[in-house]
Amino acid sequence: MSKKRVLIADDEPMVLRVLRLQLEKAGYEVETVPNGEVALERIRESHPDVLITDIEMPRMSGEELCVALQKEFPDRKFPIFVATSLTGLRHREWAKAIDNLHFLEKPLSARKMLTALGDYFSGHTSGQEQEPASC
Amino acid sequence: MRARFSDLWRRERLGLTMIVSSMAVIAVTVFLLLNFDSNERVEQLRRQGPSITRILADIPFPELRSRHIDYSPLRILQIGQDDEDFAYAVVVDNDGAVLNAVNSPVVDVGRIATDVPQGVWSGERQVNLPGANREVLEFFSPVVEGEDIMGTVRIGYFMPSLGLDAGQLPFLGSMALAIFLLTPLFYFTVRREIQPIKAVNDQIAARIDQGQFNSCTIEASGELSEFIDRFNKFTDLARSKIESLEQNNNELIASQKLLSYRKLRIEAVLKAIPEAVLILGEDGSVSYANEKVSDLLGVQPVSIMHRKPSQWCKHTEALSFLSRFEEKTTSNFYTETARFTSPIAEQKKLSIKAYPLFSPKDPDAIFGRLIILRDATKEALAEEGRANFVAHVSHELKNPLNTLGLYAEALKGEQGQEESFRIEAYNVIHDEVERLASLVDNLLNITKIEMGNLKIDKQRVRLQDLLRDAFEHVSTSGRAKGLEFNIDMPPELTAVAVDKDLLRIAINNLLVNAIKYTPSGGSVTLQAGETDSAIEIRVSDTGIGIAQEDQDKIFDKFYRAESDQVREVGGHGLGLPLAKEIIELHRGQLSVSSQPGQGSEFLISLWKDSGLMKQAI
Repeated sequence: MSKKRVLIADDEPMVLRVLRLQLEKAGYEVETVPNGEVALERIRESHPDVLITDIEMPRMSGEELCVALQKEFPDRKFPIFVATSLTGLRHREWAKAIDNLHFLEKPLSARKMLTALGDYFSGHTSGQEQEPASC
Repeated sequence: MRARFSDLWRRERLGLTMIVSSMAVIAVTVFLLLNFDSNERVEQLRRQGPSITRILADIPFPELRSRHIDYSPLRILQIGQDDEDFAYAVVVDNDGAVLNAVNSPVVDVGRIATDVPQGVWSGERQVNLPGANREVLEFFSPVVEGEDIMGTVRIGYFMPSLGLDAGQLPFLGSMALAIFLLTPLFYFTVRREIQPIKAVNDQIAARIDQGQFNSCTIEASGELSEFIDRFNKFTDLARSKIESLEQNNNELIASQKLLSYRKLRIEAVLKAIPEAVLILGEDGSVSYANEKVSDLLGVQPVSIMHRKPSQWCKHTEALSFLSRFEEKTTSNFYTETARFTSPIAEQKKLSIKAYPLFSPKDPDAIFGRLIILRDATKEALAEEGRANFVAHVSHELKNPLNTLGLYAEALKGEQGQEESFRIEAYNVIHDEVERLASLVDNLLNITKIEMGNLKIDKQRVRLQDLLRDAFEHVSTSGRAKGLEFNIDMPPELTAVAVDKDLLRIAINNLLVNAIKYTPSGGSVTLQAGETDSAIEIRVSDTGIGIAQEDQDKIFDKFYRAESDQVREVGGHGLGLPLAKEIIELHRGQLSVSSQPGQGSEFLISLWKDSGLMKQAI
């Protein structure tokens, strides 16, 4: 079984670094990008197995990235995990229109993220769940 | 002529009335006396007439009819009747033919009626005597001899008239004179009595003419004195009533003026209020609107007076707020608030508040609403700004926390076993804590400055010392990054009054920025100099530079350029805004010049005292 490829979009280099280390150690293939624009370019080249994205990023925010993906790839198979704080509940409105989208609460925890990813891949069938992952 | 008579009548009406009255009294008295006399004579005739006829009837008939006896009974009767009223005495036979007669010279015996009452015993009757033109009262009685009626004795008297008898004239004259003499006596007595009443009347008339309410000062006695007393009491009472009424009236006028003044004052206050003011009555109709209403709602105050909002308000949102006050049932006792877009300009926001107006007499009743409308555009923008500010701050606080949390978690796990990761983690944690501390410091300072709570404590300081100190403080960490540090200052700089703590924060932020955005191998320079009017401090670097489009924005709070090079370096977008605020607080200027890829230079200009004077002039 090949490694699951994870694409992480975040504008904080240290966050990307530590997540990469943790996820790679857990057996994922990790690619990091600094904003939504680069993430979209990378996804156009090849779809990852999962996308983890922050919301507040320069050039293209996580929200804009999700909306663009939903429009450009309506039959997308990979899930999107959006990192957001509890104060970002307003994001949940626009998120309703995005298929297979899950939330990760900030401050992020690599352990919880791995559990969520593990749960997703072990129980994944259709990839159409809308409920936030328990993390 | 008529006027003269009227004048005479007015002045002498009493005398004239008395003369006329006395004449009437005399006439009536004379008439009554004569009438009485006449009646008396008729009565006398009626008493004597029947007796005389019966006496004559008892005389033997032949004696009665004899004309030749000198002293026949009839003749004797005529002589005995020394009475001017005597008309005739006749003896007639049963056929009425005159057998004997005596008569007054004015009576023609031949014309005496010959009819004799038949079958009637003695009696009286009134007959007309032709030629004499007077009525005659006739007494008659039959003459009986044995069982035969031989004839009838008839004696006639003229009916006494009202005619004046010459004999009565002296009596009537003296009586009339007596009555007539009483008149002036009565007149003068009455006049004397009336005189004080007239005087009182004249005085009252004079008072009326003068419009005065003074007491009557005429001295009098008896009932008139009592009348004057009561009249004076009455005028006193009336005067005091009038005075009290006048006082009330004056008070009323004064209070009306005061009310009117207060009303104008309240209207002036309502007019001066910077907000638009509407006062709605119980049914929602406008009872007052100041001129600001036209600025905010686009309707002229005059055009909406006494009209309900549904009749004049075209703006949907404003109408939905105002129309609820047209219904009494929907009114409540609470202040209601709303905010909506201005009907005049879309970018404007209006705030509207409705306060219930409680009745002064019944606090449970509402007699209308006070509507206050104001331009809330700035407020809305400020709220939006505040919300954005909080969102930014929370984001900027969470980013380092996120990093710290992830590294802390990693340290606890397998990753923590690796020496290299531990060193990396320590550095990251240190940097992030520094970043957090600096964020909080800058945040507090910038908030204080913006709230106006920061008191600037200016003192004359040696700028060289301050700059060198700041430079030394940051250069240690900068050198660790492999940067070259230069400081270039003249030996002496004019001392300026600055808040050294604040100025140090500003210079520190500029130096930290220079270090952050200059890759290793580059250089950072702190330079100071002075012109005639200002001290100039420059912080320059050979770092990544700032794109032209970003140069205007870097002083906005939380702004960070969207370049990857910038984003790779931790920052919170508050350092430069705070530095600019601090310099401006010193009435100085902070400007930037930069070329991307070549470096940036920040220039602080602090006016020397003389320079400040020049600026002020």
